[in-house]
Amino acid sequence: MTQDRLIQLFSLNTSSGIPIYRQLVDQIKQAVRIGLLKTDQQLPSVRKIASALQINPMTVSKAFAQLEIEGVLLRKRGIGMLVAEIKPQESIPKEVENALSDLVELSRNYQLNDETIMMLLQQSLSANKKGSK
Amino acid sequence: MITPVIQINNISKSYKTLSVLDGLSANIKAGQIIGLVGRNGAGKTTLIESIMGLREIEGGEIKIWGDILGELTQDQKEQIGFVPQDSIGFEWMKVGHYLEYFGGFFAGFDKDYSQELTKRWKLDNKSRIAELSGGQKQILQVIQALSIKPKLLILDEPVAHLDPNMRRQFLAELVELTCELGTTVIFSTHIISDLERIASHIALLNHGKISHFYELEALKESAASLLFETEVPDHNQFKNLINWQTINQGSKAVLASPNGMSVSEIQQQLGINIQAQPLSLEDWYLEVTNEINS
Repeated sequence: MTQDRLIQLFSLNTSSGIPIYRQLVDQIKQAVRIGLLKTDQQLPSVRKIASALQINPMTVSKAFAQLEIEGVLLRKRGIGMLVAEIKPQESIPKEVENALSDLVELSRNYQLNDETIMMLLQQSLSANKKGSK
Repeated sequence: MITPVIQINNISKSYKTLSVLDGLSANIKAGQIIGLVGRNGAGKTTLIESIMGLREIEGGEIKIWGDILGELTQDQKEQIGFVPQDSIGFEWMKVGHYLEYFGGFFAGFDKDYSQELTKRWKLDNKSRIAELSGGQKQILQVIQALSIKPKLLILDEPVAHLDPNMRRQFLAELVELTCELGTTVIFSTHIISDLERIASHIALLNHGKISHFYELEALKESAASLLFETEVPDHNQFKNLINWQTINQGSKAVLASPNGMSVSEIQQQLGINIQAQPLSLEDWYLEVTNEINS
């Protein structure tokens, strides 16, 4: 995919209440996970993304910084942001994927909508964080 | 400390007996894109015109780049782009003539860029301003303000008459400008979804003061509608929660400020289950202005 085409990866929703930088982070991670972005592939510049999506450049920088910390992207001087090598321990174990799809199926059987499922996951994540402190 | 681009210190302004700005203070730093919001009649235009030196203020002072408003040099004034809310006048002029004439007042005016925008945004240099639609007049003013390559850009509802496609093109150009020059922007609008995209900070003007001033991402990260499984007895302890309601045996409230406890901290303190639903900026705005006016 050319750099210009990469912009098409993003689909932002300003009425969802989810901060735009987090939407970018999630969508880049998703693209890496499903193989749309490959190791060493270069992302468009902050300015290109900001201008194409009509968003504040700081928001893009913040998303890049977050992805750098998480090891999804690498900052290469004079070049920009590249997709980092996907480390084996970061790939998702099959059991987790299965458990998740079971959870989604179960939740749907109980007529829970997607937002509720997301919220439950988030609650469970933040509850776990507290416990581990 | 780096001098803020705009320092507003305790300014007041009233029209006859109606107080519009009442001891308003704010600091705006370089590179910030401030989304200025507030109800109709809150004083957004008065504030903007005061910053532009078009309204005499009754008390307090305004400094731009550290200098008192009345004492700005010609060079400093030429770095300030302004798109007023009202129509431009000069109805007898033609588009090309208008740009050339007003461009002449600004050393940084980039004629090629102004022509590029004129072409891209489908204005005809030969059209008389009187013949333009409301939206086209607005675009012309936007072109004029962007073409001086301003370090400070002040926009008073610049997109109110533009269709969604034009609004997006305008926002993209604004992003390019801030990337290129680090322009500081004040942007007043009722189209909150636009601010949600490009603002770095949100300033809410209310009862003559900036009542809320937050970094947008921090606000978005925290703003939420909360449902409590039981009633919360002493809810005044949570300063950032507003609009409390009782629903059966439970409560509902809105977390309206990033300054204060987070949802998980509140949950920990109360020891009850809380369901949090993130709020869009528009919903946050409606909740906060509802609280103010109730």
